[in-house]
Formats: sequence, structure tokens, C-alpha cells
Amino acid sequence: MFILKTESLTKKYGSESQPIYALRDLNMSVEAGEFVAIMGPSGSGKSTALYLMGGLDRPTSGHVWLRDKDITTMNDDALSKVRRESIGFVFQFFNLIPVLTAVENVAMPLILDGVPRPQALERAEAALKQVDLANRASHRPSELSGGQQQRAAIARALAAKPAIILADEPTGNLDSRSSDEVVAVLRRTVDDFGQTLVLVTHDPRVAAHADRIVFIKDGNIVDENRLKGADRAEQIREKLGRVAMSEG
Amino acid sequence: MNNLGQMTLMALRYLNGRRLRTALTTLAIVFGVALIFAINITLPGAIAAFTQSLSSLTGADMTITNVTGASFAPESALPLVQDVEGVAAVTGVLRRSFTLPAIGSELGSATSIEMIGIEPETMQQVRQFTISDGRFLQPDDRGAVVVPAGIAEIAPQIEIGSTFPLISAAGLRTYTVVGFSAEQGSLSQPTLYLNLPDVQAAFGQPGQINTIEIALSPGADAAAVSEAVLAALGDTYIVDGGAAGNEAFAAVQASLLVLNLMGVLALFLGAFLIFNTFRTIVIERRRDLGMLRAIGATRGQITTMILVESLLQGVIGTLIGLLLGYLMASAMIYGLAGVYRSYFSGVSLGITMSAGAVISAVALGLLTALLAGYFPARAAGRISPLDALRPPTPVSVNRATRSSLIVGIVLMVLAIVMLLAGGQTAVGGAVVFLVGMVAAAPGLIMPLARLFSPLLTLWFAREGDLARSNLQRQPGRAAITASTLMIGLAVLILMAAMVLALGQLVNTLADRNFASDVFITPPSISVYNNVLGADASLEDRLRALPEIETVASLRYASSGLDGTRLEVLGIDPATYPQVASLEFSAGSEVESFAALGEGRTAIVTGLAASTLNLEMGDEISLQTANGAQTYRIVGIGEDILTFKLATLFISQANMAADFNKTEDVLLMANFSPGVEDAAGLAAVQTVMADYPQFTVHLTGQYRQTLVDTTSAAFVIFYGLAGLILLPAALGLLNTLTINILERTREIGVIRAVGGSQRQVQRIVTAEALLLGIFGAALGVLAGVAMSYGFIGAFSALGWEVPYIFPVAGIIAAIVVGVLIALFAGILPARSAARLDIIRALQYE
Amino acid sequence: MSVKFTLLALLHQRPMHGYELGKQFSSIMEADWDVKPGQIASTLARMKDGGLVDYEIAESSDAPDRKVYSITDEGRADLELWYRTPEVRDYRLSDTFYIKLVLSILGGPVPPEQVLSAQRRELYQQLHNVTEMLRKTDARKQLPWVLLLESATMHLEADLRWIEMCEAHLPDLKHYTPPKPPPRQRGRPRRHATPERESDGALGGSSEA
Ligand SMILES: Nc1ncnc2c1ncn2[C@@H]1O[C@H](COP(=O)(O)OP(=O)(O)O)[C@@H](O)[C@H]1O
Ligand SMILES: [Mg+2]
Repeated sequence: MFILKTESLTKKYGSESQPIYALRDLNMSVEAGEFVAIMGPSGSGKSTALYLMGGLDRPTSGHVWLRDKDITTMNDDALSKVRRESIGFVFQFFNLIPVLTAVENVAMPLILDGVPRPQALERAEAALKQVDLANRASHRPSELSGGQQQRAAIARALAAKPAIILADEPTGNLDSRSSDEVVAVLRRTVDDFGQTLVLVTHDPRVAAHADRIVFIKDGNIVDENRLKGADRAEQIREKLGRVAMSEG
Repeated sequence: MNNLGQMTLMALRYLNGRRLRTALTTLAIVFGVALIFAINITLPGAIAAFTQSLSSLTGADMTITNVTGASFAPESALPLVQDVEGVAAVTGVLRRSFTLPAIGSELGSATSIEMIGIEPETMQQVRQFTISDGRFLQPDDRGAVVVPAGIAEIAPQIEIGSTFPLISAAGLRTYTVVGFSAEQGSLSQPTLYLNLPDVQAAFGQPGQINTIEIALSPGADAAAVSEAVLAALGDTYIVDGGAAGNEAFAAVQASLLVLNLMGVLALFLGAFLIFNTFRTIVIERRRDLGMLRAIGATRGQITTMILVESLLQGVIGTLIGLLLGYLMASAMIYGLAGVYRSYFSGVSLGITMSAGAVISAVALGLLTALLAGYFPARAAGRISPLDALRPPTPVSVNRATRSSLIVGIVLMVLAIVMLLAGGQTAVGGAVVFLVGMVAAAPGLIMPLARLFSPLLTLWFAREGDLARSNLQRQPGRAAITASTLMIGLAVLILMAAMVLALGQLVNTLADRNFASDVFITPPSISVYNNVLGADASLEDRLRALPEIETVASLRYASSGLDGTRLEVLGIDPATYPQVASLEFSAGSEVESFAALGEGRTAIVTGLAASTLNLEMGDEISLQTANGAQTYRIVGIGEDILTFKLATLFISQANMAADFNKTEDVLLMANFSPGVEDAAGLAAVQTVMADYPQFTVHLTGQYRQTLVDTTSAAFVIFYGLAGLILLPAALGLLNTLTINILERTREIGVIRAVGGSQRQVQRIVTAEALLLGIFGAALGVLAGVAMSYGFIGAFSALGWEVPYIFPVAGIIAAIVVGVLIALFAGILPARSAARLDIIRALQYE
Repeated sequence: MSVKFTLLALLHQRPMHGYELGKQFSSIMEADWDVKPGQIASTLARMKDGGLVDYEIAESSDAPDRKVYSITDEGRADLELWYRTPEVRDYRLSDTFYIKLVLSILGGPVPPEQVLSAQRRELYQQLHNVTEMLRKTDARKQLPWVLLLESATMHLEADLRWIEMCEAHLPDLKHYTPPKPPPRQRGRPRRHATPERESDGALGGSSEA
């Protein structure tokens, strides 16, 4: 059963005479508990696809189904509610509110949804724990490293227990070590909590964590890679571990 | 909104994060609120004090007076009232409060007194008197007076049996204290009880009373009695009238309105400031807001968030404003008390806290903040979630500004048409012009900045160019700032033009009043209500002097027409033109004065003509002490004493007949040929010694002092302009500061690539100057239009005033504008120059 | 991998029996060593002849082979030199995939896009596997293993980027016509393994892990 599905999703920019298609008839579906990575050259429409899936923008044509609801026909307020309750976003620039502490930032979607502040903060603490940031709860974003900020942003996306998390190059702004931390946290939410996750990335190392990689070019899917589970672990071990010896 | 608490928390944090900006913006509100609050806790108090001083709070169950406040013969009314069912007892009273001469009096610090003439026997049936010492009046007492016991506080020398002189219409009279009443009352206006005939003599109104006091039978229905009394007396009488309106009341209310208008204007400028700041805030926080939208905030929530923030500033600003307002009021009272007293004698200034004053100041402060925050807040709500994720797309500045330029120009053209139409339309035109200028300002920034930058280049060389392009990058904000300055300067020019025009008017009118040689004035020349004048004895004695050739006098009554209060001045059409005249806008001196002698005719002032819509030849039904009478208008004209009041001139004969008044409140006299000023003055003064309520002036000198004081009063206009300019200066400071905060990183780069502190400082100063020049240019245009409109509107009020181009005002405005700009630029320029390069480069 | 220097490095720590050396050999790292006991013995014997190691017979021991080997100064110098000599990686332009790709560009039954795509899928699967391994490995306890996995990850990453780059260049490559081969030249291209060619990164081949 899919959590999210796009149907002939098309987004056109530019004038009528010189249209630029950011997306062209994109059909793609994400299963529950699946971790999908979207890859593709810059300008291929990855972000556009993600934004449309998350109801941040409206398609020129086509539909986005979130479970059984078509979010492309909703009005702005209903769409806001969907974003608040069913979708968690993680962006390249962590986009935390500078004047709020980490835990307050994480609680923001809950508070926007009308959860009383004490409960919201409590749930935010839990989300922070999930990303190993419980000890930084009362720090302002400026007091956190990039990786920590991004993990706080992930906690914010997790806080409302959304149906799906959409992440647009979440490691694009991080060094490789922080990037590994962040993607490990994301993978863990999938493994441990059955979170559904769609992630746009340029980085093969990040994409390699996914269960499936979708390759996009010029606004459409050009290839897809379902990655098999790690049951061949012993095989790798053997292959990697066989050190070629020579006399010498 | 689900969680205002959270919004407030965020707002507080944001505000706290940019403390300087918050402070500057909040100041805008502080200022307007303080002004409005200060005005509303002082003036209404003054009005109340004034009204109270006039109202006759007596211990009687019911009082009856003539609608015009005039006196009347008791026989005509008392018996009729006596017969009404439910009336137990009735007594006739002649009462009046009047200002004491400024010279020392036996009554200590009392500035005015109330004198009540009673018939002791009948009075004691109407109300109870408690005598704390001595005895009450007896019917055959003459010259006996009962004073309030509290008088000992201000005049300790007074005891039973002591005597003191007091002014009267027929010269000084001496009274003997026979008792102290236990009645409480104001010590600044003690109440004296005398026998009715004594008071009638003192006021020159033998056989007259002006109030009937009634005691009701037990169980009688007051409303029914009141109705029955009025039915018996007819509509020339009123029950429990107290103090009906009077001219000072109207004048104070008018000034209250004008001052409040200034407060509102200051708040309006404050709103501009807040608007400006919040626009910047919304631009600055585009990413944060977009992100909030992305994680599910609705448009409404975002709008509310920004509104909460502006409201918070409103709350803080209002609170501080109330405090500052209180201090301002105290200072104002301290500073103005003297001036005020000379104009409106008998009115004392003080702070009166009222719920109304607090509420109106708070409401205005908060509303301003909300309103100013509303548009940026709405714009914030429209931020798309994608704005958090994508680099800002440069908006087409040109298109936006061009459309507002077109709107502005259309408005200005419309305004010019309205201005040329004159009258009240012209005032509308002035306002429309201002709005048009505000709308056009963003579009004018570029061309004007280009126009003025050669000027700057003379001084600033390269930095001037940079400054110009900085402004052009944010034409909207620059325009708002310049508009704020523009309004301030426009008001300055308007005020200058008004002062010029009014000065001119005063001079012209003064020529009319001051044709005589001697001028004899009561303590207060615009309020005659509180004046105790003189009876015919004074005029007779003056005329008897060999040094005097002609004497003319003014008599005073109040009346009404269609519910509007009118002051009525009685003149002798035969003698008056010999010592003074009026500035006629309809009719002529010769014909109108001649016509005044025949039948019931009147000359009205321009203000009266315009407010009551009167023309030459109209017949009006005027309220008099003896019922409505028809008067015909035979001229429209005024002089310096009447130009700000709705006044009617009638003959003294008619005044005696219709208003029962024969008391002179102001006299003018000409010396006989060959009499020296000094000798004539000395002769007049010997007579006047008996009438200390009057002051004698040689007209030439008096004219000068009067013109001077009136002009001095106009200085208040400049004060008001200053009050408006202050927020304008703040606005400039605010914009420059915000500009610098925004460009911190850029300034870091300039410094990093080798710009000197001095150069950075000069860039900012040049920017400030450019804004200042720009604001001044707009201000001059708007100021000329506004002053033309407002002065044109004077004619609609009945004052024909020539429009004098306010050259001095314009020069002052330009100088002030540039100075304000330079001054406002000092701090931001210094802080920009002192930025730490490394930190500036890292500034986010 | 050199058996000789591994033995020298172990002996550098302390003198050991030949038997002990064999056990150390396979347990020191998490890796599997493809080496037979005979190979160790013959290598030791050769090094003894070369003066790199020496041995003495341990009296007390009752093990069948009572030789305890130790490193000589000469051996130590040799070992040090080995440590100090950088290893130069082989650029295998003879790599099968490279040939597949070039041939498919020149024309074949399967277009180069599909060749690239199939290769990429395999590389991603490998990367996925290694990544998962890595995730399950405790870096504090199995550092040598982690280092190896990291190395694999990065090589795979490099290969993937290379494929990405090839994809980006495909439109241009399609117009590529090889120069007419000079009549006398035959056979495969020559191996380029010299360090001077290191900078020739664009031609770098994928290295099989
Ligand atoms: N607001 C916009 N206006 C015009 N074109 C846009 C806009 N946003 C995206 N595009 C175009 O749509 C295409 C896809 O963009 P995007 O989804 O951001 O690509 P990616 O995230 O894969 O790099 C690009 O060609 C880009 O130029
Ligand atoms: Mg993108």
C-alpha cells in the first residue's frame, strides 16, 4: 500500500511561448516504511518533485495522493494542515528559527497544530532524543554545529509523527562526518520506527542508505534501483577481506 | 490562532534580538500616545473647571433661569411658579461669578468670586443655611455679607465685623462681614451671600433677578413639577440649566480638537515608522516565515504572528507613552499656566485622570501599531513556503513603483483641481495632495536621487554614488522615510504660512479696533461671561471729563440661533463708528452702522455667517431674554476682538430691550482736540480708580501688546510642527539604522577590500543627506499645497486672508530637513564605521 | 601483499616461533589471508639466507619446531624502507567495464546508456551493501575492518561519480570516431601504470573491490 503517489505530475515554469518543464508526467509511488532516494543532475526537477509531493507548491497538472487524499485539490489552509500533521520536511539549509531553542524549534509544528506548550515541548524532547540531541535541547541554533542543527531539523520533522518525511539534500551543506551522522539518524527512523522517507541527494554515499534509488533527468524518471537487503553480508566480507598476497 | 502564548514568546525573542531597532520603533508609538494622553488629561480638566466655575450648584431642589442667562423682573415669573402644584417655596436670586482685578484684593488668593443676592426670609424656606460663626443675613441689612468659613485660609484677617471693598458696576462698594457660612466651596472662587438689593445695585440691575430657586413639597414628582413650571413660564426659561455653553468653552474645545489632531498626526507618522520597520522585518525573515509555512503554519497564523509582534510594540510603546504623557502634562501645566490664565481667566489647569483619556490613548496607540503592522503582516502571510527554500527572486521594483507613481500623480492632479476650487474642498485637496505625494514617493526616488546626486558628488565624490545606489536598492523604504520627513516639513511650512496669514489678519483687524485714543478693558477680553462691567455711571463720568470728546462702549449678552451659541455685543451705532470700526466683507461701514440704529438689525462676524450660513438681508429668529425676536442682517464684518468667535453686533437699545443688559464691558474713548496723551490718560485714570475691574491703555501701546501676544500665541503652531518633526527625525534614524544592520556584511566587504572608516562613514552620511534632501523637496511641494489649501479654507470660515507664499517657512523647512538628516545620520554612520570587519563578514 | 614484509613487521614486535607467526598472520586483522604454512616457512628460510632474520633454538620448549625467529638490523632497515615507500595504485584501463563502455559507444547491440545504467545499479547495490556493513560495524572494536570498508565505500563512490560523468559526456562521446589505426599497430592498448600518468584522472578506470 502506498503512502504517497504522484500521478502524471507536471510543473511548468516560464511563459506560454517558452515553457520550461521542471517536471513532466512524473509517476512515482512510495510505500509505507520505504526509504527512497531521488538522484539526478542539478536542475533535473528533484526539488520540484519533492515540493509538489509535500504540498509546498501546486502542480501545473497531475495529482499527488497522500494515502487516499488528493492534496493538489486542497485549499491553502487544508494544505497547511496536511503539512503540519502528515508531512515532515528537512531542508538543505536547516531553517531553524534563530530566536528559539532547539526544543522550541522542534515543538513548533505541534504548537502550530494547537498542542498545548508543555505537551508540545515534552514530545519535542522525545524527538530530540531520537536524533541523539537531547543534551542540546536548550541551545539556540547558533550554538549548534551544522550536523546538530540538521538533526534538530529532523527532530522537528519527526515531532508530529508524520506519515512521510521529505528531505531535500539534507546533507548538502554538511561535511562528510556530519553527513554520515545525519543520514544514519534518518536510516534509523526508517528501521526502528517504520518511518517513510523520501530524500533528494547528490551524494552516492547518502543514496546508498536508501531502499530504492530513483534517478530523475529532465523532469522524469530515467532509472530506478531497488537495493536488496544485506543478506549477502558474508559475501562482502569475503570479497573485501581477501587480501591478495604476493611474495616480495 | 491556537497559541498566542507561543507567538508572544517568539515576538519577544525577536524584538529582544534587535533591541536598538525595537527601541526606535517603539519610540514612534510612545510619542503619539504621550501627546494624546497629555492633551486629554489636561484640557478636559480645564474645561471641567471652567464649567464648574459657572454652574450654580445650589442646595435648592430646582432652579430656573432664562435661556440666555439674562436677568429678568421677579414679578413676571415668581408668582407663576409659586402657583404650580408641588412647589413648596420659591425665592428669587441674583447671582453671578466674576473675575477679580489682578491687583491685590482683601480676599487673598481668590481670582474670582460668586456673589449671590438673596431675600433671607424666602431663601430660608427653600434651603437650609448653617452659620458657623456670626449670624445670617436679615431682611433690612444693607452692605452686609456672609462669607464661607473656609475664607480664613486665604484671607485670615477677615473676621466678624471686618469690612472690605469690592468692585461693582457702579464703582467700589464696601461690605461688612456679619457671618460665616459652613458651606463648602471652591476657595479659588468663594461664594458671598448678600441681600438682593445690594447685589442688584452692585450689578447695575435694580429690581432684577436671574435665578428662581424652588423647594418641592414632600413627595412631589420633580419631573412633573419641572414640566408644569415650564408650561407656566414659556420657553424663554429653563429648569436646572446650570451653565450653558459659553465662548471660552467652545474655544477650549476647538483647541482640544486641534491638539488631538496633532497627536493623531504624530501617531500617523509613528504608524509609518512601524510599517517601515515591519516591512523590513518581513523581508529579513522571509526564510523563517517560509519555513514555518512549510512545516504547516497557515497564512492566518503567520499574519497573526507578525501582528502580535507589532501589537507587543504597541503595548510597550503605549505604556511608556502614558508615563511620558503624564510627565509632559505636568511640564505643560507648569509652563503654560501663566499664558493660559491671561487668555481664559478663571480657568485653572490641572491634571485630571479620566478613564476616557487613558482608554483613548491606549486604543489609539494599540490601533496604530496594529494597523501599521497589518499590511506587512498580510504580506508575510502571503510568503510562499518555497520562499524558505529558494534564493530571493528580485522583484520588479520598477513596475511596482511605476504604478504607484501613476496613482500618486493622478491624486496630485485631482488635488490641484480641488485646491483651486477653494473653500473646504481646498482642505480636502491639501490632504489628497499629501496622500498623492506619499503614493508617488517611491517612484520619485530614482529620478530625484539622480537629480540631486550631482550636488552630493560635489561634497562626497565617490561615496555619493554608492549612497545613491543604496537608496535605489530599497526605493520603497527610502520613500517611506522621505515621506515621513515630508509630512513633518509640510506641516512646518503649513504652520509658517498660517502664522504669516493670521499675523496679517490680526494686523488688518487691529486697525479697525484701535482707532480710538484710549482703550478700557476688563480682565479678560475674549470671555465676557465672567466680567463684571460698569453701569452707565462710568460712561457718564468719562464723558463729563473735559479731556474726553467721545466715549463708546461694548455690552455683552449671550444668545442662540438654531441651537448654536452666539455671542451678542451691543454697540451704540452713533458713537461706535467714531472710535472704532469693523472690517466689512459685506455691507459698508456707513450703511451698516446706520442700519443698526433702525429696528432689530444685526451685523454678524464672518465666522458666524459661515457657520450659520447667513447672508446680507437674511432675517433670523434670535433667542433673547424675552423670547425669540426677528433680526435682519445688515452687514458682515469683524474686528480683532471678535474674529475667532461667532458674534452678532446689535444696538445697545435693542440689547436693553431684548436682553435686559445695560452693563458696559469694554469702553473706548477719544480725547478732545489738543489733549496730550499723558494728560488725557491721567484724567481717565482718576475716574477709573473707582472701577478697578478695568484697565486703561493708550490704544497705540495696547494695540502693540495685543498684536504681540496674539502673535506669541501663534508660536504654539511652531511648537506643534516641532512635535511632528521629532517622529520624522526618528524615522530617518530608524531607516538608516536598519539599512546599516542589513548591509552589515556589505560594509564588512567594503572595509575588507580597503575602504577606510571615514569612507564608510561618508557613505552613510551621504545616504542620510540624500534622504533629507529628498524629503525636504517633497515636503516643500506638499507644504505649499497644504498651506494653500488650508488658507484658502479660511475664507470658508469667513476670514478673507490673502495667501502669502511662505518663503521663510520653505527655507526653514529645507534647512531643518537637511539638519535632521545630518543629525539622524551621525549615530548610524559612526556605528557603521566602527563595525568589526571580521564580525561584519560573518554577520548573517 | 607481501608475505615477507608482514613477517618482518610481526618479528619487529618480538621474536616468535614460526608456528606463532602463522597464527598471528591470520588473526591480526579481520581479513582473510590467502597464505599457506609452507609459504611462511620458505619465506623465513629465504630471509634467513638473506640475513634479514635470525633464529635460535629454544631449549625449554617441547614444540616440534623449536626455532625462535628474530629480526636483524639489516631486516629492520629493509622493513623501514618498505614502510617509507608509497604504494602506487594501478589504473586498469584494461578494465572490462571500460572496454564495454567504449565499445558500446562505438556501436553495438546495447546502447551505452544501458551499459552505464546496469553498471551503476551494480555499483549502488555494492555501495548499499558496504554501507550496511559499515553501519553494523563498531568502529571502536573493529577499526581495521572499518578502514577497509571505508576504502571500499570511497572507491565505489568514485566509480559512481565517474559513471555520472560518463553519462554527462555521453552526448558528446556519441560523435566520437576513433582515429584510423595506423596499419602496423595491433592488439590491445598499452598498460599505463606509470606515476606520471596519475593526473590523467578522466581516464581512470574502476577498480574492482
Ligand atoms: N521558480 C522557478 N521559475 C522558473 N524556473 C524554475 C523555478 N524553479 C525551478 N525552476 C526550473 O525547474 C527546473 C527544476 O528545478 P529543481 O527542481 O530545483 O531542480 P533540482 O532540485 O533537481 O536541482 C530547473 O530547470 C529550474 O531552472
Ligand atoms: Mg534542488
